[in-house]
Amino acid sequence: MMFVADQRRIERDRQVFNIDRWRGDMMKRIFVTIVSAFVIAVPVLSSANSELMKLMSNPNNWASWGGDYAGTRYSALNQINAGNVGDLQVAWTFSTGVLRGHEGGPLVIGDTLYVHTPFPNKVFAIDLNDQTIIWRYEPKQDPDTIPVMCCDTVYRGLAYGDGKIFLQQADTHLVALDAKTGKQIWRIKNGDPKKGSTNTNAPIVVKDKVITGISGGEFGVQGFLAAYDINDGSLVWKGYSTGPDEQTLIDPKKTTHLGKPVGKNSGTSTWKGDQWKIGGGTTWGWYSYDPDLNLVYYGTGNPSTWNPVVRPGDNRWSMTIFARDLDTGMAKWVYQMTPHDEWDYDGINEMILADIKVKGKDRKVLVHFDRNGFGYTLDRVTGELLVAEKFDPAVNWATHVDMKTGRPQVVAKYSTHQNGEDFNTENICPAALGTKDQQPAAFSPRTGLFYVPTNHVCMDYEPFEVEYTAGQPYVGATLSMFPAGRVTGDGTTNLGNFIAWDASAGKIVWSLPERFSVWSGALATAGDVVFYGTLEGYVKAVDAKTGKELYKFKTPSGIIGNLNTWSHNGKQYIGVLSGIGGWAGIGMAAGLEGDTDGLGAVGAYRSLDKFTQLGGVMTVFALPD
Amino acid sequence: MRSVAFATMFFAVLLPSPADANDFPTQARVEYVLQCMDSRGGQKFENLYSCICVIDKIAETISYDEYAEAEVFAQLRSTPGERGGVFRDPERASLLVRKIKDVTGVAEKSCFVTSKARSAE
Repeated sequence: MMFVADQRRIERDRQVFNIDRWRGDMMKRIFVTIVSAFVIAVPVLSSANSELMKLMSNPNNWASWGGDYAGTRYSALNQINAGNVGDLQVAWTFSTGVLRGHEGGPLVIGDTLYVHTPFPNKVFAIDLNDQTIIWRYEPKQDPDTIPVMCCDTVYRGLAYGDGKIFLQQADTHLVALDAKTGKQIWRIKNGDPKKGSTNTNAPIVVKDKVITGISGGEFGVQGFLAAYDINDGSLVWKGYSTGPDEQTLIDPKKTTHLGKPVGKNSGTSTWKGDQWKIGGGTTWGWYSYDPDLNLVYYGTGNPSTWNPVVRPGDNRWSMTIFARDLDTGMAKWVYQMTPHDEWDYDGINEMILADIKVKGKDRKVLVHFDRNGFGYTLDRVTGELLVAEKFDPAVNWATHVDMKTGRPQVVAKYSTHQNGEDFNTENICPAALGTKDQQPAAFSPRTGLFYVPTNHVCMDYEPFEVEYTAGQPYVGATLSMFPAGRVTGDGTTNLGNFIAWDASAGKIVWSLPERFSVWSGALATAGDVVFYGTLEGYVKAVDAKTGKELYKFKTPSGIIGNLNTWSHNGKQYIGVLSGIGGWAGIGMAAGLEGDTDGLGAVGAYRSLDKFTQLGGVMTVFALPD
Repeated sequence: MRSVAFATMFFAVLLPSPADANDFPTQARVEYVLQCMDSRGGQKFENLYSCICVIDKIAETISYDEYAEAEVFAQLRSTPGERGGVFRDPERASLLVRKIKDVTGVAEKSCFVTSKARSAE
């Protein structure tokens, strides 16, 4: 049982940062230095778009979180393939010197790899020719930011564009760094940690704009997506998730929900009084972009508070997929997946843009695996709902999604609202973490399949009354979690699965049980290999067609980062950050059991400080020569 | 030795695991020994021998898969926020963490890991 409202446990980051240990000497090689033409910045408006698109189309790079604007996390590289992946070896490693959870993954632009860390959000630029550090950037941030971060001090990565590296700090500062020197070019503030807003997301660069969002749904923040000018950081537009039309950038006549205009002030009319002002709908996930349609896609998080009883109505537009015009920020269409959320099923997971056949017709689709357990396929031009099916058979809070209204058909006995305050609703599947959290899935155009890291966890959920205070957690629910097998009664105890999904039929093609929830982002490659990581620290490679395990290697810590791939001097590499909570060989000593009063890391990190200065480790794999 | 066998039998009832698996990879043993020595004051022969002894005894008692699973529960139960719940709440988590603690305790007793050395942690 845990009390999510108790945030005191989140202690300050007491880690003393030791000199970052450079461990690239494991493999000393002489490389012919090739001066890359990729990093030459062309300081003309909108050229960042074409420059970046060119970088993305060259599979030697990994130029954005998803590899491309569509967020497919697919690489055309095929040197490592299903036949030889079993021969992979560790080529080099890099220690970040920062503890805590390492999410996201490195960017590779030409000869340079850029990697980030959790709070305090350091950035390293690494020369791939000799694995030396070209520059490092370590922002000074107020440690008071840490207690208002709901879920560890994670950070999901950098963005590149126009010769700049964009760093979205936890304390909401958005910083533009010179990609060659690490020198700060500009810095702006995107929110106020004193009021509970923080940032954990990776920004994206499109045309002359850098797009970012906000975290803090547990603190009553009014979520938004913002576009800043890449040249000076000035705000171009800001579209809120909730509020009147001028704030949400919604046109009551033109913006549609399942084909129908949404009407006036749709962002306030489904809230009681002024509740939309602290309504949540934060935007801490991933953003995708379609250059042909000029639309940015993303999802919004849970409405505040978690206690559904005190916020009647659909709570629009929390839990919603947004399609916004890149230039103006105006919403073209919206689709609310979980109206009036009662379970904390944030809708922020990635939007994967693919062109596939649905019911025999070629469609431009958006595929989204929501925390609520439904895998959605929508027409990304119009927002029409094409498929909505459970991607874990254990999902029970709703029987199905009504394809006409788009509404999930909630099962009364799992409705925490209908059961009311101080009533413990039991055996809800999935748990609040959802069937899938932020860790992004991958799509292979070769197999037509989506590869999805999932949770297989259910919960008991009890809402309680809570008052809002700015900067304080605004949660109001007590949760208890357990393996889904306890509810389905099939005798299994696995807490996760890694699945292949057919987004056209809405069906699971294969499913690999994993002992723990899979919190690592997936990677699909033209070698017909799919990669993911596990909480035990394994990097696993499986056959894209069958799911058969082809390779595994245990990295020093649990993996919640994303697997990325690139090529340098003709050799393909696979890289991933590991680092969460514990490091190899530690934690077996007496004293850990029952150490839950230090829910805030106190317990685990106390011992870690003594045992290791390793911190997160990026492990890079390649085939032997 | 007898107590190890007893502990194994006792836990075999709760969570069946092959007592004779002895399938820990070299990597896992080396990692354990390095960290174990570090926690006991560094690379001395005394620490080397007792740490090897402990990990070998642990490996004789439980399978590596189970050990790796227990390790995750033990390490991540302090994860803050809702994400940590999944490592604290399941019955299997407490069961495995207790098992690993007991197995380690028994191993340490028979490997001359003194209470003085352990308190140095």
